[in-house]
Amino acid sequence: MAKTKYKAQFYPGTTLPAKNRRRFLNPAVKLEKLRDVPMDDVVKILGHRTPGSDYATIHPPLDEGSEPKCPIRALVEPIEGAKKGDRIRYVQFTDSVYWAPIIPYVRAQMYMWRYRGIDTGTLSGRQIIEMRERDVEKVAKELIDNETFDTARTGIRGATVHGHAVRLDQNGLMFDAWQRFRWNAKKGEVEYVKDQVGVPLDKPVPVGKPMPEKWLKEHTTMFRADGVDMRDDEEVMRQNLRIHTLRTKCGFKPFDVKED
Amino acid sequence: MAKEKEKMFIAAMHKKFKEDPTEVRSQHYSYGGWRQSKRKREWVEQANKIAKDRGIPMMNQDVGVALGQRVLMPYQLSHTDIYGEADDLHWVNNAAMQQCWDDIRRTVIVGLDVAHNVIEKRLSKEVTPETINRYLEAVNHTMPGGAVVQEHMAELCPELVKDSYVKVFSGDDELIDEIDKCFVIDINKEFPADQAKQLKAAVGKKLWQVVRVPTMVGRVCDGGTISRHSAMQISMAFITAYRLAAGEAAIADFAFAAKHAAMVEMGTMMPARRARGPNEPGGIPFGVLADMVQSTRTKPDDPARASLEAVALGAVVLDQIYLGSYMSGGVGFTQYATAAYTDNILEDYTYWAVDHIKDKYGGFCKSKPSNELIEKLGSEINSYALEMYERYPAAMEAHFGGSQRATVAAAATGIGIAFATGNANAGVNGWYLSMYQHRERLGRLGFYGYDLQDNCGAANSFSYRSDEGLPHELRGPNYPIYAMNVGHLSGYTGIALAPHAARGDAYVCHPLVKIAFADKNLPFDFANITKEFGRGCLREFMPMGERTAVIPAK
Amino acid sequence: MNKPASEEVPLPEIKIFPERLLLADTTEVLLNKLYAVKNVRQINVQGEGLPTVMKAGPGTGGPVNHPERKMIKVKGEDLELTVLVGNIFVEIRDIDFVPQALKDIEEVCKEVLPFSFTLEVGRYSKFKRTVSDYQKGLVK
Repeated sequence: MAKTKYKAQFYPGTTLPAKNRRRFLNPAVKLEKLRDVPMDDVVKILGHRTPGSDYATIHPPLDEGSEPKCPIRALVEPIEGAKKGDRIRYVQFTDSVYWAPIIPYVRAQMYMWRYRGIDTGTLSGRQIIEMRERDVEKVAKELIDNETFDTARTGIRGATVHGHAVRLDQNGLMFDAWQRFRWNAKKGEVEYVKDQVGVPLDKPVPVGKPMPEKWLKEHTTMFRADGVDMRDDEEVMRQNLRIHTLRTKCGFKPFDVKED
Repeated sequence: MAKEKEKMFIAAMHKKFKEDPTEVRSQHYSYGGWRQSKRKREWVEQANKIAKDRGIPMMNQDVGVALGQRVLMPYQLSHTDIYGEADDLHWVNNAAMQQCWDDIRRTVIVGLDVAHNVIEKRLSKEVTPETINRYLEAVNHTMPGGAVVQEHMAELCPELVKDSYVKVFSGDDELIDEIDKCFVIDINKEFPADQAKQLKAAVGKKLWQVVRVPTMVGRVCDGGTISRHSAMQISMAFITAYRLAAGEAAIADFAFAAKHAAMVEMGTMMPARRARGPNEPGGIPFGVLADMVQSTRTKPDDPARASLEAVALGAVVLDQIYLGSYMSGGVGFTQYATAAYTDNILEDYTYWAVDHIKDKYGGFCKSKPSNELIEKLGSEINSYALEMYERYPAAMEAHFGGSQRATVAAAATGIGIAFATGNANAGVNGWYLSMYQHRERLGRLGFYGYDLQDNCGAANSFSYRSDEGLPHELRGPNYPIYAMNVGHLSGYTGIALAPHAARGDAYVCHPLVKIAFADKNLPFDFANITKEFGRGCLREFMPMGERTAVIPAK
Repeated sequence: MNKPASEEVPLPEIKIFPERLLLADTTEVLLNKLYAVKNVRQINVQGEGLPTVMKAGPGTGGPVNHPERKMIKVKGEDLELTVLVGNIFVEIRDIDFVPQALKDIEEVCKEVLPFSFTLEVGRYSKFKRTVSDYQKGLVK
């Protein structure tokens, strides 16, 4: 059989949300860095270890050779944390329905394209990525620093996540029952005062100003009736309906499916 | 967007301010009564007096606080004016929900023709309307625990078992005319003429008993006990009514007929992995549960109402009680289910779909269930539902969980397609179309399990081959991938009823069940399901099998 | 069969739905001005709960110390605000007073709220006791 050179298209569509989804999914696209939160502060927010402390391990480093021989395992280049035997830890984000830059399933798809050694889970009120500890710290910093994160409308929440579907508060922040982040009115920016599971930080971690509504709408990945309606993107509709058609037909009369 | 009807929402004043068009629609029932001037004075005085006495927590009169605060608004039971708290809607706290399930479980339908054949052919005794009446009198004594034939029997306290009785129905008008009215469910009286005709044709000249075993028996024992209690007491009644020899060989025929050959229990046997006896909620196919809903006969011109009632019944029996308790337990499931039958949100989407189908698709059952139709109409209904959530923050907050929104949007879509096509499998395929589009559009759906169940379901929606699928009406909570996740069984039940209500069918798949629940003597009124759940919230619903008579008096 | 309880009737409520969830200070100012409006019988609010203690995760048992969960003074009385207010339900004594009350409340909201809001008339709160009221011992 001849080899085909498959070129990934990442995501269909011609409208703004579709284009923005493609940007996130395409690993060749360098996402804009909007802020630089120090790594130690990221580690504090994650709450899995104190900055500077050793990583806990769950097995000896791989180069000690104590893993049984397995040709399949040998095929896979381990990520750094796997090599060292780190435990699996997580970062979990909540994205507001009110124009947060990224949305749960797009996160999952983006993670799949850009990162290796991940386990990701998608719900409506939260989206989690689990990796070996040192790797998840790097990924968390990348995500917190870049345009997937809006300081007011994206939350870093490990538990008690309610707020994604609720109106923003007077300061423009997404509701958080545990107030892990707060509005610093003097500086006009958001700062984290607790880690992702609500344990107070020793001092606030500023994460910067929220993006203006105009910017958020230009960078949105959501189709909404008060923005771009998904039905106005013919290609997205067509591809989505194609998935529906194929799954339906292949379930009971796959012989009937004819595609170009 | 198509015209927005206010019929589900209060027809009162609302105003918009400043440049923000975030118009909020009230989700509450229209209180036309306020405007009836002749009673108005009385009402205001009455309300003021009640308010002083009522001690409802929002007043916080006891602590003298000037402000009532709450996190969850009371839920309005859809298409009623009854409000209940989330707590009131947990089945453990709601006597109406309990009796609803009790009334289903304790019902067993037992044929009389096999037994009559035995009497006539094996025992050479005559069966006449007189003997049937005598038998019915006897069985209405034995079923609630009265003794016959044997001496020195322990009988049941009538107060505890007053909900137990036996009635009959038949498609044979002549025969039914001769049975004592108090023992009859009269198909002609309970159903509109065309539905009565369909039902009598389906039932034929057979004579069926609707047995209600005491609620208490089902509570202490299990679903499987019902048919046995029933068969035992039926057999005793035959012995006494026909003056048979108790214990002669022929008696085995009555027992066999009542337990097996002519017995219809509400829940079928489940797969062994469920490790449960028969006649439990997991064994009730959607179409059979849908047949218990009686709005199809009380409001035959409103298929949407019937479908929405089926959604409510499915939500409580299958999502809250079966998945939420039998299969898991605890308190986590209630609000996944209540989203589908409270606050008139699904109501609005469903009636919008009805109007849309009448406007653009020629009305009920006029569309072929093609892929193209499902995609077009499904996209329209689903987009309307999601648009309501997007435009109205109040709706988005009422259904603050993605699972709630996903279920409601998909239920409206599935029911709408079922209305348009008259086909339940097309309807359930529409449910999945909604889920796919919802996920694509908003980049989120429901809880973790929706990622699986609602992405793979389209693949089995049209399959009928025995290990792949079934007609939707015959599927049930243990259909592969339906038993996994709460929040779905309500919609699936609605989708089973919808096409049949739209077609004007008298029943979905089980005419006997349909007739059995058209019975005024049932403690739970299956013609007003959300209202009954609401009366449970209000502590106005009196359940049966209460032990007051046998426990220490206060 | 089951007999319904004697009929209880609702009074009209004006629902204030602001564009944003209100901070405690705004809630305090708004409530006091609303109580001063003629023919207001009672006010109830709904909002997002502000817990005092964390009930999940590694920090379980620890205090939340949510800045918006604070004491405010309403009608001269101290009370602890336990929610971030999203809906305000102003009950009016009679349907005849509603048109004027709507105007008055609109003025108050325009004065106090720095963003948009909508007003609506309906009935949103319970007006009959339910099972949970009995369970909590709140029915005499």
